Amino acid sequence: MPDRPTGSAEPGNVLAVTGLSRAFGAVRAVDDVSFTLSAGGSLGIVGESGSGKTTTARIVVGLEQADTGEVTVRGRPRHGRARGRAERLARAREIQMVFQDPYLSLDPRITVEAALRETLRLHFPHLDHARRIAELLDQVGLGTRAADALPRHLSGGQRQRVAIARALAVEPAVMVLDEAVAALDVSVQAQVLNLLADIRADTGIGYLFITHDLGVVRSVTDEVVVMRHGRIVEAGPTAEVLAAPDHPYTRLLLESVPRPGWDPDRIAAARRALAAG
Amino acid sequence: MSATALTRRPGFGRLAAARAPLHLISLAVVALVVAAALLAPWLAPYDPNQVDLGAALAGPSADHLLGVDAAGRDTLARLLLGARTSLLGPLGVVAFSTLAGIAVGVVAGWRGGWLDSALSRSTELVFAFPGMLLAVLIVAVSGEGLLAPVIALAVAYLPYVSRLTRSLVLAERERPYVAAHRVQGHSALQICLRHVVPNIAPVVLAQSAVNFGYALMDLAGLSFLGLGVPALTPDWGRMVFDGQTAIQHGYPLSAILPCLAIVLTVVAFNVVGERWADQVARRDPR
Repeated sequence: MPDRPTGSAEPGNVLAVTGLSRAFGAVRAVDDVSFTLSAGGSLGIVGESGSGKTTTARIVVGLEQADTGEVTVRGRPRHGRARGRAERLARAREIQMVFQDPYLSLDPRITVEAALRETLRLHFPHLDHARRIAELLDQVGLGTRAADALPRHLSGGQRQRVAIARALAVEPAVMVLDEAVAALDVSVQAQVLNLLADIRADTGIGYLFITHDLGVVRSVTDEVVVMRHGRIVEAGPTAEVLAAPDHPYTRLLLESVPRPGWDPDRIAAARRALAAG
Repeated sequence: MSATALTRRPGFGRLAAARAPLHLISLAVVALVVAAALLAPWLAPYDPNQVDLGAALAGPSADHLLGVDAAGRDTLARLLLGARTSLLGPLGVVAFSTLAGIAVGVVAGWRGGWLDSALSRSTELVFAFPGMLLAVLIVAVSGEGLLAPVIALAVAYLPYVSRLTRSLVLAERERPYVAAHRVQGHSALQICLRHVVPNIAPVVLAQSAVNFGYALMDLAGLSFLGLGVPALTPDWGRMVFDGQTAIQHGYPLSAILPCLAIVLTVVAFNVVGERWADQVARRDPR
């Protein structure tokens, strides 16, 4: 069994999720999921597609509603949909999200600068926007020349940097990264992961990393939970879980990563055995 | 997705495949007609209602470049000033049906649920009434004047715009950038107005350009029947009506010219609108 959550009231936890469940018809996409994220920490949620990790992320940021369970950010529980402007803005400053596909998560008609300005105007109407935009672009490693570009003039990596800058502009406590590097080339992936590590060290924003890629988990998370069929099957510090996995599914995930001497037939057999058992 | 295709009338489909020269000619015709309408008071050689009975039914001459109608009025002057009424009417139809259609379509597509059902069913109800009949009915009740038929046709054209908008909004709201803006704390209204509507606008406006041609034809038909436009106002449909008797006397020019003007303008708006929609569809949005 996974470790039970330590409760939202405990200091040091920026995000606490308790007993989250969500069913779509007969399918229990998320089933009694609980975890906590310590302030400035980085938690990975790993699983294959269909394991419920993306639904969990969407519930945490408020794009979906849970059937039961609670999400608490900085000790403040979120119930239902946000009502009113103040509540909406407060929630946005608690949690921001970077989406999987940087080709689709930016409005194709809007320049980088206009996108950042729109966010700043909403959250910090009295700030010097031009200076802050330059700061944000610098923080994500984009030159000021990118400011006037439309998303279609940027590469995938650059677009994902813009999406990160847009999330940072709100100055959130937690950032949810939903497969945020999955759509990028391997070399660009490494750059963006390094960037994210630097940003965490500088700002102390907590990361919730949703991914199917164990390499990503290894390089950027302190702790990890493994999800299968909507349930958490294993949780713990990343290094321990990856070095000595308890659950057969975690072992299977680890063995499924292609490497020299890798035997797909054996993995398939193990997968069938796990599904049967 | 058939729902996002533009709605066109039977027979106009072939225009959709228009090649480049036809498109350029159509653009020129549209520009010419609009310029004529704007500059009519300065271009017209005579007052459109100035009667010169001595020259009635005269052919083209140096005095009257396009001849004179049965009542002795200069055809060129009436064509030029007629362009104003003939374009102003459809413009009103298109402006109202586009604005209201976008509003209805966005609300239906964005909110969904019972509101969507109510709005979609009630706009489909409008489809059941032929637009012309609705216009005839309203004009019969309200009497002369351009406003009544324009409003009637605007209501009749609204479902074309709202149905297209709704289907576009349904596709657009599922795109991640909408979710991203929601997470950023923007209100639904702000996301719709600043992001969703501008992103779907080109397709909707292309439909409206096509609708412009149809509305022009319908309004010309109404004024040919003597409905809507007051008797002395120069208008192309009305000119065709006035020219009927002249045709029987062997002087077809004063009826055929406004006919030509109507056909050319309708076809030109159709080709331009279709071409515009094609370009929008082909353009890579990323």
